[in-house]
Amino acid sequence: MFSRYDFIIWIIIVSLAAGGLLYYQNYAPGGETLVNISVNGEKFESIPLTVSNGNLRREIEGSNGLTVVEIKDRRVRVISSACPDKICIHSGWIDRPGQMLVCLPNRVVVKIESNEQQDIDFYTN
Amino acid sequence: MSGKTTKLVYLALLITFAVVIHTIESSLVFLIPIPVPGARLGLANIITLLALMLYGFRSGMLVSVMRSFMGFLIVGNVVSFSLSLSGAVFSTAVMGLAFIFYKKKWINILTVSVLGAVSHNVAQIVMASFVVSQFHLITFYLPLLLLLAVPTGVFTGLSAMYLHKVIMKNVTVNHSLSQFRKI
Repeated sequence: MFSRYDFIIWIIIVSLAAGGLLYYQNYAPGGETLVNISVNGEKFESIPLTVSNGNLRREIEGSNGLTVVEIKDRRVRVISSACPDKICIHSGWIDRPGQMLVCLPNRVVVKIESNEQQDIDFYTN
Repeated sequence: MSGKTTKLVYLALLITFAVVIHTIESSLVFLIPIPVPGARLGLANIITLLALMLYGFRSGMLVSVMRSFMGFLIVGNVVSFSLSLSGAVFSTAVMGLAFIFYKKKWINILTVSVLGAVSHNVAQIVMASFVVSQFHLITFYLPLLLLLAVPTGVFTGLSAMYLHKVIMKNVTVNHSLSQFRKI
């Protein structure tokens, strides 16, 4: 049933996926880690994610209403949001650079970035 | 019934099934590991693949596009509509292309389905990053979605395969019935 073309295609898909996953698992960022909050594509606030920065709360006015973001113990989560499906709240805590919380109805994006990742070449290689 | 009317009725039924799967699927969001509302697993591709197998590329495209429109009227908003339409059109195009190779017996139907699932997820994530204008979404979630596309594609392919078998059986039954009535 399965020809060699099948195997080639499947192996390409799985290895691409596994390679990508491993790449992000093993990528240990250096430098400062920042929590970038943006509304409607525009930058709202950028908070350094450090241990000393414990228990912070930010209220962000989105296009639907308020979104409340909590930063605690070097992790970030959305506590409450004025969106119908609450997917951003169910996403829970995030703590790694590259992870993000997106509230699409409210147009609020919370993203963890490290200083090293600001280089655009990182994403194009 | 003439062949044309039979095709019309069957296509209408296929679109109905696709809309039902689409609607059920939108309540399965907790299965998808991307935080974008409106993203789907692509289970409605079962019906698209079935239409592709039964009536060819144009009917497959018709079923998937109509399914997106009807799904938009039943569940969802503009964002989820744009995601589902881009996923539907792109995956149907890729599956239609892969189906040519399937007919030549170069690849399996499961591979056609997996390619459809992969392209469905890729189109969705690209569209989602355009909507939020956050292109980091692509690099971060694409590997995960590629991996997720394999079980989804296998499931979709197996379902379409067995449904096709059942339908081919029943089409002959219908045919003999209509012959019977004529006599």
